[in-house]
Amino acid sequence: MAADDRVKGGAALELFMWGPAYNLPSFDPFCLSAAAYLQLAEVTWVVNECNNAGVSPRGELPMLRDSLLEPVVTTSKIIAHLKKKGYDLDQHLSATEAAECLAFTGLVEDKLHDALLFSWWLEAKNVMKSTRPTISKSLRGWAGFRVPSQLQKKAEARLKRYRTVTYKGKETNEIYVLVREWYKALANKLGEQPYFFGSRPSSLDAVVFGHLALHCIPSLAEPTLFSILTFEFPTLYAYCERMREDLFGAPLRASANHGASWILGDIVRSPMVYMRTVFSPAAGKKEKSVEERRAEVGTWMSVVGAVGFFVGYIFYSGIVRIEIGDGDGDGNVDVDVDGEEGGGWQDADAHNDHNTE
Amino acid sequence: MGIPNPLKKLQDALPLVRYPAVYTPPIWPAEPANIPILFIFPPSKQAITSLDAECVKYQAFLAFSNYEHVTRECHEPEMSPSGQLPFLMAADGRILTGRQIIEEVKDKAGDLESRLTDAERSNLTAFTQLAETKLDFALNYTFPPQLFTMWYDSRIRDRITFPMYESLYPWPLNKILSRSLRSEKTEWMLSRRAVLKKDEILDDAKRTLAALSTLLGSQLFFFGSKASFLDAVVFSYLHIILSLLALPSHEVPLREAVMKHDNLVQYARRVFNTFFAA
Repeated sequence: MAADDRVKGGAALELFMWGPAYNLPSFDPFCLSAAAYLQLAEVTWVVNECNNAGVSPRGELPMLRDSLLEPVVTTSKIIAHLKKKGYDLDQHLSATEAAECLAFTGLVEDKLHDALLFSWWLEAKNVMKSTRPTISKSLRGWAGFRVPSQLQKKAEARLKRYRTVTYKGKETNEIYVLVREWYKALANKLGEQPYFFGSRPSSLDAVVFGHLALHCIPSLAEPTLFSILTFEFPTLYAYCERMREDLFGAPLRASANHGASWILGDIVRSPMVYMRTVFSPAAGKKEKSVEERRAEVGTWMSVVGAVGFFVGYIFYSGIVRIEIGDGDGDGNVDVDVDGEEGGGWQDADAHNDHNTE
Repeated sequence: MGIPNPLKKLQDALPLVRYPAVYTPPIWPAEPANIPILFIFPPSKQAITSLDAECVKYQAFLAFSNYEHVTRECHEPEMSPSGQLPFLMAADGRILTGRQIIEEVKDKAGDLESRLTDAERSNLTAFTQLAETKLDFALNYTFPPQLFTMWYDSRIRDRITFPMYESLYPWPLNKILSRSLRSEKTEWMLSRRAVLKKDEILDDAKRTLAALSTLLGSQLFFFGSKASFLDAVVFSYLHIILSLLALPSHEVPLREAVMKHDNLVQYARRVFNTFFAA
């Protein structure tokens, strides 16, 4: 039923990425960047929410599957692959602008990512109250227990070099001082333009959105990055909100490979996610025609009818009988199965008699 | 009452003598020096610049800013508060590392970047980060075997890197320390990248070099006629790659990649001649 509305695997590009969180299609900035690029380039693609980075040959997500070719892993390679396929957002850039695009991409992917990791995994309050529960919920089954700790350990190793410093009379981590500098560079670059390089989007827009969108989450227990962005760099914040509306306002199309084959395992492992997969708007409600809807209603009607008939028949033919009234004078309600005359209840009575003797 | 004889004998056998305190040198130097001292990783015998890119970076920045200082050799990174060389002992005795050095120098010797426009400043930040991450990765850390890296190519490792570190300590400490340093670097690298592949890292470096070459064009420095922090960063990596990785036996791919950009090579030579050769 629902699978018919989804695009068949192999027909379109399929992006494997970490699952949704915080009102965004993925909690991983790199996956989000790749998704944003696909949306900006107006590619036909489907999303496959992964639970396990093991699906990718490199142990990393995002991964793009393009029909029968070898899967493409990591954001930069996905973007390079799409450029080769003709979805090139950077065509209108001059040589200098292309160099700047590379430099800012590096700044965002290396440095701003550090800031995000710090705020998510090294702020004890955030870890306990926000990130860990949210990401666990976004993942299916055991991955929910395993992946957050892995991410946290990785972040700790990566951020060893940042030290605590005094900033404006307060003890704070170096990263919050540096992140202002980085935001400032981006805000200057953006200026009042709709996109980073004028009126047309580029790959930098996809990358910046992918990362910054996760920086401005107000619901964290300690939303330091969010407050820096909203108070000191309102243009960047407005940019993120606008991009989110433009790119991910409408639901993404789910892959046919996802869900259908995993249904049994999914129900057992995590009913919540299963329900989300089945009843998500991505299943394409608006694409259903009148006949289909009628057919669906017919299906449900016939199921209800069949069950009703079955239950009615059972009672009518006396296979199961419920008697209300006093058979033994004790006021017991007897449920007799297959005509056996309440053997169980008699045993209980006998037992009571035995005790009173 | 006297002490019983055997006990007294024992006490006599172990006399309690108070020796004068052992001489400990004062925390060095005893009083704040009048001139700031930059502690750097030792240079090779005939060179003036350090063997460590991070140290060259600050040496160059201080030279660009005309900040009066002396350098002192130090091969113990743990001496620095951040655990990384270099560090600067300011004239008033404060010990500064990393960004604090930059702030101090800007305070005392004037801000090199004050003349830049907003757009140039944001480019400065972006390109500085780009060079620091990609070239740093390519140079120091990630060069897997065939690529001749400082830590991963057996030839470079045995010729340059290990002698560089091993000559500083006596046997067997040198063997242990240089290997533990290597594993530390590996761990740090793996925290940044899930997979260490030589081609990817070299490609990143190549693209970075191309971008820097485009930005430089035919200018004297990256932002016009005066140096900035970006110049210090790029010069440090170019200088180390061009000088240290120049092996007579074979060409190192990273060095080859730099040599392809003529303006970068000229630039490194020019900066070295202007600020360090004299």
